[in-house]
Amino acid sequence: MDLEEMKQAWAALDARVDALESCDRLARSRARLGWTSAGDVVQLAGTIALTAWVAGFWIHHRTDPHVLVAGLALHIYGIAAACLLTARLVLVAHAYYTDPVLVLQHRLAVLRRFRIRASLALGLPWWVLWVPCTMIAASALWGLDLYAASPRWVWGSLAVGLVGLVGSVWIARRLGGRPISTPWLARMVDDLAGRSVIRAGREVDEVVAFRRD
Amino acid sequence: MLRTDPQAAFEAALGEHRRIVFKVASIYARTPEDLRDLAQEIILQLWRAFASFDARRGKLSTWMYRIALNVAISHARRPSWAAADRIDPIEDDHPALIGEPAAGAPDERLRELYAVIEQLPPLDRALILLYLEERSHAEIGEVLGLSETNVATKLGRLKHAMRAQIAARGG
Repeated sequence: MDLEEMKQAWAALDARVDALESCDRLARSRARLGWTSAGDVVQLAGTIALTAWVAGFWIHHRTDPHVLVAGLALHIYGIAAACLLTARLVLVAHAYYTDPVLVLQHRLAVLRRFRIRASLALGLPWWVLWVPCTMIAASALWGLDLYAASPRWVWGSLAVGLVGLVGSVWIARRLGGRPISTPWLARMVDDLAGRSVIRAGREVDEVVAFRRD
Repeated sequence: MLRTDPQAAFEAALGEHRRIVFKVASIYARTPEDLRDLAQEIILQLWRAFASFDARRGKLSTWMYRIALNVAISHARRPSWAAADRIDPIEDDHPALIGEPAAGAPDERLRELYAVIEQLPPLDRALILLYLEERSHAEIGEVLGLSETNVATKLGRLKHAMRAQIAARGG
């Protein structure tokens, strides 16, 4: 088969397409309309509100060094999270399906790589951050100073968190490449093992090379 | 806007260019179910963007190819955990638009064509689809975001590679 025959074969596809069900029916069958970034906006608003509250909290407790440190840790995390979420929203806001294919595919690949890195940067610290979070919650809700009550629990929990953080990355790298049937677990393993970032990076390179060559 | 009622205008536009939706979907989908999902996704995105279409700034078909290809390529790039069917190996004779062919019928050539296209990376698939649709180099450039010269060079290379692949398959 030569290229002309390919064109003829392709043209013969028209009859098949015309026999398919009406597009109108397909269009109406999908009611999933809405703003896909709504979740990101809610997350950003929640992060900003929480960061502002934590700021007020550590300012109020600035005379208690351990509560101050816990508050500052959460505050710094909150600012970093707000910055990452804002950057993500800006990237999403500049992605339009009406853009030329290479322009959009490059943006999407960059966005995908950024999303994965941001998710890791925001998710992994929670192995440790839950400790200052619990300390602040205990102090705010019940006036309980967890560090004063049990410093060993605080240090022990932080140590366990650090081990968990390193361990989860190590396990993900060990599992990398094996088929995992649970989608969320497969995604998590891919992200932690760095395979998702590599894949997204390859897509960026592919678009750049296609445009340049 | 083509007409005053956006939905009626959209339905008319879709009716006129429905082949674009299904042909694009057919070269990126792996199964008939996947084809249906992808066609729906393309139609949904076309509808969402329809209000922004300005006939003075370009042809409706060019605008539709852009959206359809962008949606389809994004769909094809989804990792295995994002789509259950991606875990399965690529079916040899996927072409979802092809039924059971009689020997020597056009379907057999289509099957062969899909088998060759399936080996191409997503962006090359877009280029060859627009070539098969007999779009001008200028329009292909507009859809993809390439210069006409670049389109001509890339198409030349791609056709050469495809000829070699067809020959290797014994075509």
